[in-house]
Amino acid sequence: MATPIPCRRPWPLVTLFLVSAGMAPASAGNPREFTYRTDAAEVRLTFSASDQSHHGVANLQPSDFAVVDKDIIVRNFQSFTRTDSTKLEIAILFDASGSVSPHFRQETADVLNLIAQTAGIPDENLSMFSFQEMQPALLCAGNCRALRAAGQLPTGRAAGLTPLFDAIVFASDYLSRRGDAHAEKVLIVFSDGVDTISRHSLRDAVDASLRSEVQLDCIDLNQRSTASQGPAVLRGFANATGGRYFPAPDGGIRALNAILEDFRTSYSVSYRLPSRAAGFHAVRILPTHNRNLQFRSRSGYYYPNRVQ
Amino acid sequence: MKRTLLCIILLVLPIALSAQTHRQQQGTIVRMRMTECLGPQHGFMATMSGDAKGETGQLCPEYVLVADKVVYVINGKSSEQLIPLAEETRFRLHKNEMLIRIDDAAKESRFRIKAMVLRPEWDRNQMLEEAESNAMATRHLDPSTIREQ
Repeated sequence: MATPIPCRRPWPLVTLFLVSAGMAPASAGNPREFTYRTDAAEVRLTFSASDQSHHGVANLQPSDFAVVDKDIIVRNFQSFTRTDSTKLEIAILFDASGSVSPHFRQETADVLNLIAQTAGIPDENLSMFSFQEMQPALLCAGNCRALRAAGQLPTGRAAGLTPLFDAIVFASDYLSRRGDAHAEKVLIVFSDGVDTISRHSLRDAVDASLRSEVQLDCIDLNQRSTASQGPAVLRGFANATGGRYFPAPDGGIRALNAILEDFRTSYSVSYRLPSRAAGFHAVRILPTHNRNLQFRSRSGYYYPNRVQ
Repeated sequence: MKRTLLCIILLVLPIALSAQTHRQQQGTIVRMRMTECLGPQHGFMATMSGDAKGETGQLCPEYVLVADKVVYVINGKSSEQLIPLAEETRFRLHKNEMLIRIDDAAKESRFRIKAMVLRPEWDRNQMLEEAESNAMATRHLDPSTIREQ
């Protein structure tokens, strides 16, 4: 049933296709106002499959798996396809705050090394953010390799407060507006998982990633002996969004390899929305026959409590 | 003669009923969720002692299995006790438990039966739920509702 091909990382993505139902202009001075009404009719979920040896499964069939969507088991799919490997949008989130100063040199080396290894990804699909003090900032978009080659990427010194959650919200929002709607969006987060100043909460950061369909792959900059909550935070990000957690050093390269390998065995499935219950729809993919199959996808999606 | 016949019926009836309970049946799993595992004390004595839940803090799978005449809610005994979600699941009942043979496993897996509902009643509830859900969706897109807002 399954031809394993080398792959380590599976991953995910869920999309609600919105079907519009009305429209109208809303210009100032015009008494008539149009209301846009939409109804989510279909769920699209991107996932990858691997066998018990963690090798990607290249010939998965729709009958090999079922989706559990808010407790309801879905076996009838409207579409099932392999994902298009040209649609991969990658962003790197680079922690330059004071909390990572002991590991900053290593982090910088890892990030630059990672950019050097992204040869298979078009330059326009690569961007990089940094955060320290109060604001996250976009370092480069579409020209990261050129800046790296010219030695112009700011890698000065780590200092200041750590708005990690704000930075994830910012980067997720940015990625959601990049590329086409069906592109796979991955944010590689270099961090110790510590946040000291964000206006957004941990929950906000997870929700922003889920809403923007961004997968978080987290590279933990902590030493193994650390007693901080950081690793748990990073693992939580990865698990909720269908990404993976990698300890440093070399976590960046391993994450990138996993993303690319995984991409060769990722699939996209769509199905009718099984329940219109508002709120979070937890999603899980499970095998129908072969219990050795493992699936990785994002943990769910939000269905609005009022259709807008 | 009548007495002999009565004796035979009395002897055969329990065996026939037992055979009915033990025969292989099949159904479809339509729902699944992870819920608190029920501890080992889950029976009459536990209920009487006020510790009926006996929760362990772990999460175990709970399935809704729809058979021909009855719909069962069953609980796994550990987080690892996952059933492949095939279209058809074969099972049999034994001492308030459901026994499911998963693939070619040597032993059947035992699941606790948490609840049972007659199929017609369950179907009726499902139809009501679906109608309610459709009505809600229609209301969202209804022009009169739009005007009200």
